[in-house]
Amino acid sequence: MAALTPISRKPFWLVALITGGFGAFFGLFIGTANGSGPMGIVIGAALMVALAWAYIYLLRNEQIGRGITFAAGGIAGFAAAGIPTAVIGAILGALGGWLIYWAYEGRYRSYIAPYLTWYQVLWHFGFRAICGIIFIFLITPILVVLPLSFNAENFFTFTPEMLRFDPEGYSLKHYRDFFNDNEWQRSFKNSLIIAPIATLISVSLGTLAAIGLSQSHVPGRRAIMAVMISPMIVPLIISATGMFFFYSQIGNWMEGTLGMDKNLWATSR
Amino acid sequence: MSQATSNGPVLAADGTPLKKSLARALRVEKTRALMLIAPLLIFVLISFIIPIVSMLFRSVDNRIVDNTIPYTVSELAKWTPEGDALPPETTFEALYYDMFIAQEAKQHTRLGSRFNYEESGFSSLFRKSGRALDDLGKDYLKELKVLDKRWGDADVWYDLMSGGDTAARDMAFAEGVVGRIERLESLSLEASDGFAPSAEIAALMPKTAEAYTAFANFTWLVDEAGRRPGEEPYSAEELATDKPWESVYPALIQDLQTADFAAYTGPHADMLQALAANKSTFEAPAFSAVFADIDEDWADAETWQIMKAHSVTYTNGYFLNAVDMKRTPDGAQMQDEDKRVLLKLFGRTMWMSLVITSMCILLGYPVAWILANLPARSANLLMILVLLPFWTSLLVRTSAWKVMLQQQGVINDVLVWLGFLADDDRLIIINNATGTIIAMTHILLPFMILPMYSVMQTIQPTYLRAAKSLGATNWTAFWRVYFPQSIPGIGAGSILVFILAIGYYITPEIVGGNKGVFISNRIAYHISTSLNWGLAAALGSILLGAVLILYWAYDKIVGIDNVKLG
Repeated sequence: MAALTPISRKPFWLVALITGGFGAFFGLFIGTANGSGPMGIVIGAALMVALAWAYIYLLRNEQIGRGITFAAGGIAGFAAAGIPTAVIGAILGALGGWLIYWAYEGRYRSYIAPYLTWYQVLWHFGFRAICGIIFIFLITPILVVLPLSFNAENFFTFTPEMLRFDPEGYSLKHYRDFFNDNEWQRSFKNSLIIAPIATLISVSLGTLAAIGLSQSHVPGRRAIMAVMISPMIVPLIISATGMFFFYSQIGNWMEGTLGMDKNLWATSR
Repeated sequence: MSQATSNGPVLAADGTPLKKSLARALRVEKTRALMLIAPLLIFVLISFIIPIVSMLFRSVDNRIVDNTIPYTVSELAKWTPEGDALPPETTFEALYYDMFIAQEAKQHTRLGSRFNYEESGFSSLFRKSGRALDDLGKDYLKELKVLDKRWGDADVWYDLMSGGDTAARDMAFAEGVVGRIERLESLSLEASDGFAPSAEIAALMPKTAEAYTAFANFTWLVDEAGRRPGEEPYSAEELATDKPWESVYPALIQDLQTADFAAYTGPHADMLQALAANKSTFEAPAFSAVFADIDEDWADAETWQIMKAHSVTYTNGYFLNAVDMKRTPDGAQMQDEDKRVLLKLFGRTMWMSLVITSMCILLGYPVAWILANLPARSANLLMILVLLPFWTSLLVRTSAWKVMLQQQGVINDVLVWLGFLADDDRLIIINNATGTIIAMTHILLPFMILPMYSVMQTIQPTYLRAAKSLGATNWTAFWRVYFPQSIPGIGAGSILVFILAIGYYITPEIVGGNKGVFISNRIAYHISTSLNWGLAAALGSILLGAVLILYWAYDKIVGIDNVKLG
């Protein structure tokens, strides 16, 4: 998207406010982790403001400034508690360096309408932050399970080794189990058999019905829609038990009256 | 043009009246539409609607009582409970013979568990009684053998009851007994394949004939029916070598009191006449004493009152249980205080579903807004973040929340690591209502975002700009112009989420613990653990009723055609 608004450099007090807020926010976490929250806020804010001042008035080179913050964050993190904190420190450093120039150069203005007042700008970014948090809420649980699959232990939690990025803590054990265990393989095979068949049936029957329902004269359209929507709205437990009783009766009947073998499917494979 | 054609009906090109032709075209179109819909409709009806309806039918089905103890049920129907008075002797007698067949068929424990749902103790009472029923017959057999050793012989009994090979058999009598076994065992049997007593015996000693016929046909048609193809099938000759059930002896003594054997000339007439001559040595069975001897509960009028209250073919008892009431001889009453859990659970299900729905609105609205207002490229990218959880398996997402929420889980670990929590003071956010609400909000959020998004996409951004250019503040423009237009989306999403939430089962089961379970989990408990399927079906019917009302509201407010998911 092309820039909407010409940008200009902002006064230092604004940069100090934004970067100070950033520093205070993350300083709070680092502070509490090390024993004192308020101290963290003060130190974090002071550090960020000082950095901003130094970059703007002394260094005057964006590339170098951002590089320094990134590297310093990583080194400080590593010195604190090893690789995991080094990663976090580097990310925070990169973010902080970017933020200083983002605020100073007034880049935040470039993609929003020029006539917005300052609180509208604030709301614009505040709203995005809220949405960002909700997106994180949506996606984190799924991302969290992924690394757990490489767990060397059988626990369903992150072990201390995993948190230290210790190779000892990771293994392909569960993947090996999956491919070697007959139980898993059978379930997997069932998935591979049932999913395509279910797709085939539902796509073919569903397409026909959709064509039919889209005609202009369908007698009893509402009733038909209600029946077809029912699998979606009937509580799972009700449909599950209903089907269990029904199909077990049919199965008994097929075995008893038609003389079919209940292992028919299992033995043919 | 002639006068006749201009006054007559308008004609189509082929000469038929236009009205008729149009009607035919419409009919063809309707038929074609229905034919297209038919495969799926039939599939859903057979594979989905019928199973559910037949399952829900269990909520009123109480035929087990009448099928297992039919005589007792009809005797109880005649009895009017009054105070501590026990039912008449005939009821005890009916129960003795009913129970005897039932315990031979091993069905009496099932009936015991049926009554046990209503009052605990019945299960063991029935089991105990079933075991002790033989004793009465054994005692009589001993006495009979003192008189004549042959009373203990299987072939004597067979000859006596069949009346010999040439005697006229009473098929109607046999059919009655076989019909009863059919209902007891839920089987379909042919009386002509089995044993029928001689017509003379059936008329002379009906109780003995019935007890023997029940024994003979149960052995013949049920017990020994499952022989393998190579084996010799069961036959009358083999029946003649099987000793009858002990219930025939008390029946014989009872018949002895009323029958007159003087005119009887069939096989073993001498034995019967000798028996009649010694009539006074045999005491008629006192069934009430027999039962009181087995367990004192049988001498308690309450036992019988409960049985009477639940000996109807179709009952409202399960539905009453489902709303914390119970069926008693004096009509419906509230359950005891300590047993009232279900109404509370229904309330909690509703309340938690409401909370989850509001959370989804709160979280879904901004996301839907930003998706609808960002340029297409970034919106599509963000859409993946919504759809990825939506497509991921429910079980994976629920287990992911287990990883997140547990005491050694991600959230607690991070908070402890950051120093916001002490290590021994971790948050308890799993296995309670909080855990269920968090996990279910996450799982149902896409169902809220997608309908909202599709509605918001249709709202013109120019309306907002117009409102602002006319002097509205941001808030006014949103609240008076944008929000009202987005309400259909909120409505669609809310009802969808609410419907899905009140019937949820898997997530509350895994992260809900005791405090965060829904009514569905109770249904599952009754189906798999307590095996009280009637109550489960009644709870399910009520739940389904609630869902259908919501569905109806949804159809009225949004229209079912407007369901859009992505």
